[in-house]
Amino acid sequence: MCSGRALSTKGIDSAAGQMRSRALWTAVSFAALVLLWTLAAALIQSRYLPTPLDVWAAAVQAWRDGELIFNTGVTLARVAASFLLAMTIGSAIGIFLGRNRAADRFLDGWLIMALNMPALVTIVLCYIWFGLNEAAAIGAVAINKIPNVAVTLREGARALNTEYQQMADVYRIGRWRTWRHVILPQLDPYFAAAARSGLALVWKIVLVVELLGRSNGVGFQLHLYFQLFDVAGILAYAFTFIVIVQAIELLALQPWERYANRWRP
Amino acid sequence: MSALKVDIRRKTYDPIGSRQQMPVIENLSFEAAEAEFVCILGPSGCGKSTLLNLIAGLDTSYEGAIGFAPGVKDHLAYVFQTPRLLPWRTVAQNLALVLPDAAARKAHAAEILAEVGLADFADAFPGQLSLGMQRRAALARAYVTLPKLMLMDEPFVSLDEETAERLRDLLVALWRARPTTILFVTHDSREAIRLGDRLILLSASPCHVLREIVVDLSREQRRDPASIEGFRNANLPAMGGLL
Repeated sequence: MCSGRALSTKGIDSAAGQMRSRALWTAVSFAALVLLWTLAAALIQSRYLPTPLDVWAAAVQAWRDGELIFNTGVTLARVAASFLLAMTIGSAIGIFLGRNRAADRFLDGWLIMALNMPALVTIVLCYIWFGLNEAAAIGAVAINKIPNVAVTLREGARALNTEYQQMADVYRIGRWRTWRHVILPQLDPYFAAAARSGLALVWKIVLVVELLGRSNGVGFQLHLYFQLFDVAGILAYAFTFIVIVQAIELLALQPWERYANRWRP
Repeated sequence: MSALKVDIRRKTYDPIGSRQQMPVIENLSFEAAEAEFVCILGPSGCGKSTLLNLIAGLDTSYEGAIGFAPGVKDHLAYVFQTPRLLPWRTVAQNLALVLPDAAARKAHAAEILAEVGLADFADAFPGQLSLGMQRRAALARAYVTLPKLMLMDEPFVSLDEETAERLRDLLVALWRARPTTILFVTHDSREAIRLGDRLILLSASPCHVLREIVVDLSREQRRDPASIEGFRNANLPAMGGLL
């Protein structure tokens, strides 16, 4: 994106050329990483540092058994549920606080406390209070993310343009259309920021929740591999998840952002 | 019959960091007839925009009364000093937004856009247009609602004189095709004489009405700068220093 903007004067040919060379550099850099890793593994010769090929073999094996797909699917479902929950509730709280100064002053301390609550404490307390069940697991993850979303969207709501609001009031376009056409588009960048940092945070916390109190999912599987000291298995799952999250970023978040920003000259 | 009756006894505001209330408007009253083009002329910072915001109902803290003929208050349009088009919506969408009826939206918006010369820019985003075109679009947005009262707050400032003059012609053409009461705020006496049936001269802050002047030039005469200058010298001699 940034390369596209900087290149407007040089024309399409050089833009495409630069994109190709950037992709090339990324490939070279990853190849170097794999090479270094292979060398280190060959040098150290320990079962606790498997080679990239060992990890690949472990991933293929887990894929054939079906457990990779199953556990990854279960974890992704939990990520989606807690992400949606956190975005919805967090946005509602944040927008409310950004538009209501009295409530903001009263609840600001609570928000700061919630922001600084260790994720582990929330998870353990949710399991103790609500039992070792799915709702407690998803709820615990959502609660961890809600304060971040709320703080981001609060900034957005504070920065809302009063001139557009006056226009909407004078022309009596109604509440629903004011939200849809005037308020929400102004909050788009804040939603994008919250979603991006949210996705990264949520999937990591989901693994902890699974490790502590679920009997399936990537976190549970990592726990098993940990007990076996199976590093190849651990890395196989880790890389699978990194690839999936990167794909969501590239195929969902970035296209959405491009669409939301299409009006910017 | 008057479409609008303004009688504001007092409007104050508290400047930031001051405990004292500053009066902005004091004992200001005037009326505007149906389909009349009224220009409100006053020095910069005298409270003209505040006055329009009170009439529009955007600010409700004042002493006094603002009365409307039946139906006028619900059919009010406001052309602001800046175009205030939503930058993330196309020109056509900006117009459709202010129309309550979904069926009427498309056809009516297209018709008005053609009239202001923006037919080819219906799907452009405001950021892609020049300021003059954005002001046309803002004018179209006001007119598309078929307002009974139109408030205009120096809608042609920061344009070059040629563009401003074309927009004045456009405004007069729209107003003659669809008569509506217009309150047009400006600090430019030539522009006021060029457009208004009647001028209301406001004092410096706290503002009140100094004088009302009926402009008895025909619409054709007003296109001639010499006759505007003549009217100005005959009727506004004392205003020279003020405006």
